Amino acid sequence: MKRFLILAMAGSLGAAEPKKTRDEMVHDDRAALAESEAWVYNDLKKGFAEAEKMKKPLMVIHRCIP
Amino acid sequence: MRQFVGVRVIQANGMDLSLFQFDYDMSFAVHFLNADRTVYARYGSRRGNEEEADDEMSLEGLAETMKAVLALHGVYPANKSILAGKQPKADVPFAVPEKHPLLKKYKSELEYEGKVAGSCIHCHQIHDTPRRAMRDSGDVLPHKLLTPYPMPSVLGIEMDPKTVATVKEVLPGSVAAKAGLAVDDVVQQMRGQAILSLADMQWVLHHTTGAGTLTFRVSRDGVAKDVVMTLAADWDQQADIGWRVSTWDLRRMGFGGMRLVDLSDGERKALGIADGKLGLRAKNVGKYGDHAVARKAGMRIGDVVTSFAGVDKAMSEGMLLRKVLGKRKRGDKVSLTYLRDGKEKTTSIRLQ
Repeated sequence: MKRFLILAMAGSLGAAEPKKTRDEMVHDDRAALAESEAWVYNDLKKGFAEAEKMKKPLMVIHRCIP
Repeated sequence: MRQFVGVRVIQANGMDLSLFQFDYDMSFAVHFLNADRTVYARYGSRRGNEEEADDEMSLEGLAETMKAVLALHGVYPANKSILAGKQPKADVPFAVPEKHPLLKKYKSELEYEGKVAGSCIHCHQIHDTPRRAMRDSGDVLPHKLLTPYPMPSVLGIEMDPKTVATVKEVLPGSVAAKAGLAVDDVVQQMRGQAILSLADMQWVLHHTTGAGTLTFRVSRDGVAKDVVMTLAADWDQQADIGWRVSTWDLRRMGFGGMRLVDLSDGERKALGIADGKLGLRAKNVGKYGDHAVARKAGMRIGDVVTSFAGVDKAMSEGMLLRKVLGKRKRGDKVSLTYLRDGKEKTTSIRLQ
């Protein structure tokens, strides 16, 4: 579980990365996580539907990238 | 993690403000919800610089909150009564941020094909826009707009960020100490609401106004106990807003673009500033546009403000901002006295 949480919090607890432009950071985030099996990316409707179907609680992360 | 449906949202564009109500100055925040939109918990707190985030958040603490959410989910909806107070308030002026007139240039989704970062509404703008709209229309700012989501530290409580809600420290002489809160107490409820994180505590405090009592249900050595805190009318006046991104625009409105910081005891002594008297150093003075008003009035980095708009009592930058913007309107001309190279000078600025 910890690996998923680190990904989720990436950048919020002092993770050091080379300096990128704000646009690059947004694109990189999508490239890294949009296809992840652990996360529904930027699609709340889909998230709610899955939670309903699977009887699981939702964990919605709001993460400011740029 | 597999016991949750994880959703990652990276912009405030299209955010359902009737559901997602939290401290919008956070750059990382979590909502735990049932599929029927019931909020189980909020997570994500901050009060200092980004480098100090470990003081309020940790992977261990988040994992503990997740376990507590699963426990709530397991018995839902039988526990609805302890979740009732955590639910978002219905009276939101705009359904989504981009409906606000000041944010109408944004779309409901990010523009990945263009300048994607520039197409993003930042969460802090949800704090900024109602303040700006009120100032532009000539109003003073209400206290709650100036002091969102106070930390429990304003009551003298420090929490252990590696736990769900265990008290790490109680400041002697504080509201919490007088009420009998103790180190290692586990906060289970506040005002009847289930507490699963520091952010949950902030939610209760955010919706607490003025003088009155606030009941904490704690577990002490495994035994449930109610601790009743007595709040004065100004119980949250010490809340620190200096770290907040949205405070940048408040500095424009109230200080003409200056960022003011406390002086050390040594600096106060060297400058001859008496105990109880105002002494705030200009750490930054804006250079551009509406943020350059103080600069145009002659203020420079390093100047020490000793009186502002008639206030010469010692206080923090945040307290002074609240005092000015909570009482004075846009267009008011205020005078300030400051020290530069040991000499006292005066000037004036017009509030925005």
